[in-house]
Amino acid sequence: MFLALPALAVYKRGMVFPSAFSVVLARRDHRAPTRFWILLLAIGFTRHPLCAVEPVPDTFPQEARSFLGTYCFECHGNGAAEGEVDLEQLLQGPNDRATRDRWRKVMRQLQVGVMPPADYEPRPEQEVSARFVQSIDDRFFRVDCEQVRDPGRVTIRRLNRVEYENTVRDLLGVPFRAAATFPRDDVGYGFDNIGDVLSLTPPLLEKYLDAASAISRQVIHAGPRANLFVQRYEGVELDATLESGATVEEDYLLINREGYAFAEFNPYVSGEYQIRIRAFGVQAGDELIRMAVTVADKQVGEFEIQGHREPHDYEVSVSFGTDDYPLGRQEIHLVYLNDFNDGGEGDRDMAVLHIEMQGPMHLEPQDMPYPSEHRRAVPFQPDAKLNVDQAARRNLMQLGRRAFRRPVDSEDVDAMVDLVSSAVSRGESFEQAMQYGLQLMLVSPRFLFRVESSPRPDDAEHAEDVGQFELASRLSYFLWCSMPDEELFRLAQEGTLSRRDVLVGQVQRMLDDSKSSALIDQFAGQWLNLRNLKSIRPNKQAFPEFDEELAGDMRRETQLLFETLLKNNKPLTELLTADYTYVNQRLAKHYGLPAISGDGFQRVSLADVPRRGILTHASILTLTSDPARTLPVKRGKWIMANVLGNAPPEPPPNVPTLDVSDEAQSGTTLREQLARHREDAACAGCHRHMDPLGLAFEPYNAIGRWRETDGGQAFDTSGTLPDGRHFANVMELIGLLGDGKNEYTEQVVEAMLTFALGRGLEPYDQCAVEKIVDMLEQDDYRFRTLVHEIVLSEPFRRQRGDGGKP
Amino acid sequence: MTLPWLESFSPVARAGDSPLESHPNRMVFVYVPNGVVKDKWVPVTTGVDYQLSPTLQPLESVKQDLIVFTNLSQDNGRAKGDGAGDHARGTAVFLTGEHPYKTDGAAIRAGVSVDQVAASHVGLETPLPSLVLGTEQGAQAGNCDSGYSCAYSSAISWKTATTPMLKEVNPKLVFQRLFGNGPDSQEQRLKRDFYRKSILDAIASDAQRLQRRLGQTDRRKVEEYFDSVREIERRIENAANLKPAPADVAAPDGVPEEFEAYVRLMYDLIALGLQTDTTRVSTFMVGNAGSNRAYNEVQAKEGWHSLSHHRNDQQKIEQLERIDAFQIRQFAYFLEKLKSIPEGDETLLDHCMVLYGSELGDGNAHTHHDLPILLAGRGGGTVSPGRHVRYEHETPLNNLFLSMLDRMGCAVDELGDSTGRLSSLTTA
Repeated sequence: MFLALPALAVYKRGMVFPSAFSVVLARRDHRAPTRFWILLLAIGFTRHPLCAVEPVPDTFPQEARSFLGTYCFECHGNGAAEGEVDLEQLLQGPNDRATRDRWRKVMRQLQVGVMPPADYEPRPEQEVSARFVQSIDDRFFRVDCEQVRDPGRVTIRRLNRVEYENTVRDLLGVPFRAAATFPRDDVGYGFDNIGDVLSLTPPLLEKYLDAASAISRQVIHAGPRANLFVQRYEGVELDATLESGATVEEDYLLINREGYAFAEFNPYVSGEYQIRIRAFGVQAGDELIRMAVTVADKQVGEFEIQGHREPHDYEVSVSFGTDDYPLGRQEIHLVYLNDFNDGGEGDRDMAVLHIEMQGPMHLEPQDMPYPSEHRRAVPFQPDAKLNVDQAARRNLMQLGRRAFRRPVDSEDVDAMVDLVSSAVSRGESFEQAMQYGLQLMLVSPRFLFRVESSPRPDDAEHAEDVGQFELASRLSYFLWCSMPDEELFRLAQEGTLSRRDVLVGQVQRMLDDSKSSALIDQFAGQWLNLRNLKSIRPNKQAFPEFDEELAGDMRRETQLLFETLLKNNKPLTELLTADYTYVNQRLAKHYGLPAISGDGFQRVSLADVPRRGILTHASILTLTSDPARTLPVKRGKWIMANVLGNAPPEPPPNVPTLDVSDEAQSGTTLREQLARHREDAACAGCHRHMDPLGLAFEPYNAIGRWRETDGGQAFDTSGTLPDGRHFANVMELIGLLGDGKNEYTEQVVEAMLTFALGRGLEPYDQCAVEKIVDMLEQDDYRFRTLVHEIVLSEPFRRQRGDGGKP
Repeated sequence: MTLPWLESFSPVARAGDSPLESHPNRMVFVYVPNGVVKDKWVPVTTGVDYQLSPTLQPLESVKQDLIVFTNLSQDNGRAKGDGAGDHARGTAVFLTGEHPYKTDGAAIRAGVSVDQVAASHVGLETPLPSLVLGTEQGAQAGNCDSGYSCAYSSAISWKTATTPMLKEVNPKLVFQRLFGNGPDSQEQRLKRDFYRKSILDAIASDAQRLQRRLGQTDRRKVEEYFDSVREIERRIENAANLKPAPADVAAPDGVPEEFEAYVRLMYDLIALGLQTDTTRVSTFMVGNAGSNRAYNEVQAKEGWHSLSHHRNDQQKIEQLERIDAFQIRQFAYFLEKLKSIPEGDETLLDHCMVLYGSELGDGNAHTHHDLPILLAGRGGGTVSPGRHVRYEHETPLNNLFLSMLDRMGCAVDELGDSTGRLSSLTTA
């Protein structure tokens, strides 16, 4: 049946539910130029903010009053406000964001057919309802891409944790573990890089100050050079693996079980180094404690720890700067090889007091050269030609250009130079003073925020290309979650970066760079909520096999599929349909696949097993379950929202959630219980779509393992998609979901555009989304095309002023 | 200025009272998510002779230090046309009384919370204006509750209407916040603070140049940054007063494996912060809004939030009751701890107002009226505990907050949806 209602294509993720009376149109029809879009937010009374249009007589108030008066006001008007909804008041409200949000809800209720309630008279004819929905859409949510060319505006973005960490690494060449130090960043629109949401409170600023201080001391060495000759960790400063059961005692680390303690060293000059470990043993059993020392995953020494609680030194030498033992930051492991515990008094443990490394032995300690990060940060020292001010200024201008990610003039570093000079005049060494200068740089708003300044920052009508350096940062923070590299800076300096061919070439180069793993980690991790696997805690009794390692493997599997598709430029749909996956020993066992050995991941074929793509990855299946059981409704909702782009509205208040436990005991299947749930008109509108999708995945338990039955009940996994197509089982369902004939592509485009821009999408962005989707259709939905088109899109390359406009 | 509440504010005279000035009043707010099982929570009788309800039994030893409130509500937690999301909304409302703007992205807005109102006054006198703690960091991805930003579901403390306070969840870092980074000498610390202040001064002078080239939204963001700069500057000035940790207290390593030990450690740290007068205001979120943690330690099989929608399934209700009682046991531990710390002739608890509550009354039905609210401590003699008080239906919880702020010496005329002060915190 074809009705007057145009196909309700979906704009905002999770925005529109297919109407109870909607019709299925072929995909191309969705794309027809005359299609109507439902948009999250309206432009306002002036439809087209960047160009003048003829005013159209406004018939909406009259039409709305007539429809609402007939069907709604009895409960939601005339002074009544059931469920705290007063439509009469809404009709009189201003055309602001809150009002539009409410109109959107009215629209959804009408589309789903939840309102007016089934037992209410009179009920509007479907066509009448559809026409009114269309009027709301036209009035509040429509955008004409021919007329509107609004690239939007990105709020100044504070670096989030990952960006901070990566930027410090690329700027200064030292590792900094921001995740262990900074609080988690707030999330908006599904991502944690949204300028509007990222806040900066006093405790965070304090952490930035502490971090700047620690980083500056790591980069710039202020003590005597001889200090660089010896690197030392006390036992209590060592890290240890979880399984080692290590505990920090008074002045040593006690390793209770087989496992290892480790610390990071940085041999940066070739030559022979001495590693000295002071350790003692708590002996038990009939052999002495054995300790292995490994460098670069190779054992360089093995010792028997002598005596009971007698500290001794154990020494081994290693030649760094060779093929086997390369230079640079790396961990040295102290492995406890032979635990013994008879359950009583006999408990053998290994204790480490300290570990130090000296070298290279051919140098005198006072002749140690500075490490490269120091030399890069402080290339100039005061001497006969340069005074303190001048040397500091040269150092800081070089650093500042990269730290602030744009050219700096002398004035930009004045404050830092002054600080260095005043520290020197207070008796600090030049290096110490430079540490303070660097600290100031690292807490400057120009470092912590990605500033995109404009000559007309508050003119909402004025749009222009973002500057070359801003574009370089947009690219690098999108694809690398880090600062631009020298090549991007050079192109920005030359003014050629914004050229289409240059941009395309740079995107290819950047995606091929290993730093693009950040895109997978950050984008996929958040889009698919993979990060939440860290905090998920399935019930221990029901799933004793679930632990942190398995959760990590689950996450890794999904990331690896994502990475493969991006690296090999495969279609986006393969994410849903891939008949191969990546598993290690644990995960292969979890899935019941042929055995594989080791922690490393291998690609395996899924041709013979009922698993395809991420919907059958243990990661997604676990994330959409409760701690103790599967939640078909949640799984169905997830597919509606993330694949079909039709996130159902939240249930009306005070509707009870499904109860499984008591009825399950009386022998009805979950499917039968859900069916009863759907008899209720208030629930049916959404659940008849969601439930069959989720039920099809019932053969995968709450941690994604395959099962033939649940409590003896076999599964009926057949059902119908919202568009009417039937599937007999989960494999058929996945085939249908991955055939490109639904809103999945839009979902990916919108999610990635949001991530790339660092802001929520607005109505006018639909034009850009549409264009990208069209390009993808023409290019087989290839992953890199998606990235290219986002970078080339209007909102990514252009920016307008603020002036209070959303 | 006339202070209408002055009468009820005057300390209750007791024999042997020491001068109160020497022991400042403190306030602590403990939040638990998901509401409670009401019929096991609300004591049947009121007044001084009331019987503790089953859930509140673990508080027997501190019953005389406790007021149980019935019928306090947070009306602004209700939908008001915003639809679902009661957990996040109720949590944003809990200490603010302001209806939050529904968004999972731009333009978050709730209101200033009661603890931060106090912190902006009495916080000036201590090294830390407030100590904001929790056990679960903000969720990492996704909108947190039916279209509400994670900012709403993971914060009860709001410094301004648009700035939620970040919680500290790592005991080790809490300890560092309270007592500094270990055994710095006085000289080292003075030097560090000198340069830190120089750095902050330099940033401030850098500001104006930047602001000129930004639009209004960006300027607000940068303004938030400079507010923080000023706050830290002030904190450094106070750092001279930073007290060392008591000699017999060791810094914690990190997050204890057992949840019970973790919660108790966080309570210990709050007690330590108050005892050393490092701060006088603290909040603690035992879980984030809608927390679905499985409390295996009390044989609760499903997630807490899932259980809270029990639909009268007796098995689920019993599991929930065990979680409620578990939380109360930890709270009792905290109160006993405060009571074990002498201050003058009295105890630390006597100089505290410790509020415990949830953003929902009945978690199953998402109600915002008759919230479970306890207030412990004597507020420096300004509160008469040992009672169960039943108020008029729909009495704003914020009225209690106004009364509490009076007792902190930072009276305000209104806060959120307050309609006045709560009568009878002190018995005649």
